[in-house]
Amino acid sequence: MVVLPEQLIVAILLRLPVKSLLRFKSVCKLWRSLISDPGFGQSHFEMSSSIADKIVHLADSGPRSIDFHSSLDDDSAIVNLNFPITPPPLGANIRGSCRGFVLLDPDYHFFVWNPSTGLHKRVPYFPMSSQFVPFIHGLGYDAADDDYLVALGAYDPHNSDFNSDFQFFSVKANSWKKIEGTHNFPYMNAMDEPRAGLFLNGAIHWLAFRHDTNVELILAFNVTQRKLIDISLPDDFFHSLEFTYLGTLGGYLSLSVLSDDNEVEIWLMKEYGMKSSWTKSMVVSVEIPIGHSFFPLYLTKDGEIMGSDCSDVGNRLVKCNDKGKVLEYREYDYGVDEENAIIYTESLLSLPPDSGEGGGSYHRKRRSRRRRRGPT
Amino acid sequence: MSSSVEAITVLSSDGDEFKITVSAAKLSKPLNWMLEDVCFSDDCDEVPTIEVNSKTLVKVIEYCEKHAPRANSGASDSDAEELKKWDIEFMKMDVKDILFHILMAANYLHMEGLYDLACQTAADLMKGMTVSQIRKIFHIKNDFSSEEQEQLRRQHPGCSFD
Repeated sequence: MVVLPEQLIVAILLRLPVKSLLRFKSVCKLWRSLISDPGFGQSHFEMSSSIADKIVHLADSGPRSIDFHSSLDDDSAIVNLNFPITPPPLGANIRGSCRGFVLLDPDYHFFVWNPSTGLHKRVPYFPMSSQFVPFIHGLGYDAADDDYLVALGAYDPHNSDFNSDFQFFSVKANSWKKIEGTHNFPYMNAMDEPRAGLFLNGAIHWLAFRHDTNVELILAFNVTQRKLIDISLPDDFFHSLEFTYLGTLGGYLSLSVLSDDNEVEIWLMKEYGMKSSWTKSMVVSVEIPIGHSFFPLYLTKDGEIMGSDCSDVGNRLVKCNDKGKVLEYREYDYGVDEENAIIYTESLLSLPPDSGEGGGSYHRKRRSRRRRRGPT
Repeated sequence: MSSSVEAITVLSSDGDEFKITVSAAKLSKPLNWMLEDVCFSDDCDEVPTIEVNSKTLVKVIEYCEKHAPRANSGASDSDAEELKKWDIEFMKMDVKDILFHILMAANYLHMEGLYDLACQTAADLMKGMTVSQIRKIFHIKNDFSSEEQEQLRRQHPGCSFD
């Protein structure tokens, strides 16, 4: 009989997927405490062999995760998740994804939510005039300070001066802040509906329009430096941003566009921040009926494209090869689109504790309305 | 140490003698230190003991001999591919009986490659197991009281102790 020392048990546990680890918390008290340790969660996330990318999808029936690495026909690849509040509000949007956390936006407040563990934190919007339209939302991780930042930008479309505001919420400080020295936030939305901010390379990215220079671009908010950066689109990119999807395909900042004849054009920024490194890396004729909307969610290592195909006749997730041939698809009753689905990396990570410096200035002051609890 | 020596003799914890080539022994830091410290020439009769049982040591030496050429000289991608396949075949073994022993040996002998391989193999075998299967192979007793189990089940619906 061999009894492994704790150090070797941990070494094995670090290589297990999140799903198994959550189950193995019930093995014994020692295993529960090993797996629940924040340091373990951190090491596990850094160990690339045990992490997996999944789709979180807010369906009508509730949120679920889709493991698209296994066959789409495999029912066990879909797991129902618990929304932070019950019942899950209809029409909640997904606004970002970062290190296993997903940013949910049920209605004028956020949840920073780890779908794997259920851990979550409610973050109210910063107070803004009712004229303001929020159009930029995102979640990022400040590695230098081990802090998570929620970004929110809004502007007043009725005002000719484009009054606007951009702030970020630090989970550690538990408060919203403006970027120091910035009074002007000259950006507007580049499409009708806001889309999730994409976290890559220490910054959150959005497609945006700069109204002072009249330029469409990618707006980046570097969460460590806490500053805004403009990233140029490729010179020979002439598509409407309404039909362009910003992504992080294969670890690169990417733009994908579906043309009228079902050609998906994928651009990758091979060297982050270098305009000249934009490369039209793939033009794929995807085997889907004309008139459907399609956007790539994920590029696998083998060059397979995982995408969402939405149309009046139905919604499906499609896996096709690098030539556009559909290898597999699965229909869903509720569409997987850019507002209700995002790729996230399964993690056991927890949020840093609130240092308390922000105080409770945004706590809801509804104590008087709170129902008094009757005798039990 | 005489440079003419190509293989050394070691003893397992069961007292059996094993031969391992010098180049294969270099995969392990402690074995390497022994090579430098201990005299292995013919007129030296000291045989170092490795605290690993015979059954495990056979496998560890097999791994070392297979990996030694690549570790010492570098190898092409096709060799690496072939070696990967070999590793998978090599690791087809019972978890409790031998895999855990190999993991302990790899840890003791500071063999990073074998350590990672053994950990990953164990993880792959375990990931689909039930809680009670895990308890069995790790010889763990369920130490949650029935009240604690009830409470955890309430907090985490779907959580199973079996």
